[in-house]
Amino acid sequence: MPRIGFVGQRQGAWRPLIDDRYRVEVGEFEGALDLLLHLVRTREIEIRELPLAEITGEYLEMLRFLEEIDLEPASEFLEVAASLVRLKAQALLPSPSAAGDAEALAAEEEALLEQLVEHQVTRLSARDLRAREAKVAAVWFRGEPDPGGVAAERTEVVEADLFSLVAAFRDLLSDLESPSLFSVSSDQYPVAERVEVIRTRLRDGEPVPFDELFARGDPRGKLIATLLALLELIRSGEARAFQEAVVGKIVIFPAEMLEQPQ
Amino acid sequence: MSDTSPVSDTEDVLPVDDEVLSSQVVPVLEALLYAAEEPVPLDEVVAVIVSVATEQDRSWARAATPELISRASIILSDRLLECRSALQVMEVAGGLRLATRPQYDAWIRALRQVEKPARLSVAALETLSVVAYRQPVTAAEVAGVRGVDPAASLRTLRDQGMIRITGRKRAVGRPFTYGTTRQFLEIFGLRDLDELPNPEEFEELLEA
Repeated sequence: MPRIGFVGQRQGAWRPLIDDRYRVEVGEFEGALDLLLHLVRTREIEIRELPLAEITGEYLEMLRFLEEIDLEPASEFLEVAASLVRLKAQALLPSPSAAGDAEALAAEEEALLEQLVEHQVTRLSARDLRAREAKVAAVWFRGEPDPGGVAAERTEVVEADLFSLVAAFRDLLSDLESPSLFSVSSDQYPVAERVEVIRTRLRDGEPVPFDELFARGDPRGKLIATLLALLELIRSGEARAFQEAVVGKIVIFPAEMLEQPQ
Repeated sequence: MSDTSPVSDTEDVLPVDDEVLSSQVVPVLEALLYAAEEPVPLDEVVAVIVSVATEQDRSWARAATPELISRASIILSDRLLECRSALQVMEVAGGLRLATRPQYDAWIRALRQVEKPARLSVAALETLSVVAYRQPVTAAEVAGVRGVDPAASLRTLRDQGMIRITGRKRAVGRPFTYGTTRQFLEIFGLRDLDELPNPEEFEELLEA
């Protein structure tokens, strides 16, 4: 079956699809570690002190939700899910028969936590690079070609990651969704159309609050299509999502330049 | 920084007095930095100055050491600051460079008619930071840290001249290894890789 959607497409070109159904592979945006980090951060607990088994439920729930809204978790998400479930099972049923297993499991958890810490460090250092880039971009040299740097960002807000967007969407969904006995999939609402709607709203050059993209009473399928459309715009570099801190309000900005490097 | 120039037993070098430094060496340095379109390594400045000063038979020709040029660049910096110049001397990618100060960004952008510039995506920046800290590093090693396939990011970063292939690893498949480029240092305003914060500092940040 041909891969549909813009999976693997990096140019940000809008590719019409055969059946207008979009499959976004989550791994293209963020990995399983990002999801774990997202869950850890919302708890405001130090990574190494978190018994991973504790967030198994939330992790699985998020996975289920991602699938529900047509976001396809990559296989690594399932691997991490499997680890979490094993940890959880171990925590619930401390079996005396399997001391060796427990040890192996503890090592597995340790390794995962270590990876998580390392991942967080990478994210922080990326942010540090961003700040440096901004500082240099405001400075001009002789003979400098048109800039490849960055304009200074003067706000404290951070770029909202995929899981913050999805989590915000999930909160909205229960508020907005029109009651329906049938589950209506996003297939019936062309994402391309939703992309145009968002594009038009952003054309004023004004930021748009995330929740204002979704209309009360819209069917679930339409809400989902709107989210997928937003993700496509973010991915192609036309829009950017910012958030005040981890749990703050999300605002969508039109990107100043279309040919952003992805 | 007004210590005397380094004493040399082997060569008969007279210390350069402040007057000469300030009236001759500093302006020469300023001229070179103005004319250069890239950061000029200190050694290159020294070589140029020695050769021309010798040719012109200047008294201080042989005293033009990297230390002397460092002193000259500090004097130049101070001078630019004192006269409220929009220019500054920057030390970047192992060299010296004249640049405008950040507060004049908006004016220059208007003159050159450039919008806010393009920026690297978060994913590309994360990949870049892994490469910067762990180079030489293979794609598989980057994937191990980031948890996602870095192929696309690596390609973008190579296209942008931020990283390059530095060799191949002695391992199965002899995978390419990647490292950062000089342009990486320039874009991020780094003198060298050692100027990147220590990863432990980030960890401490986490625990704070």
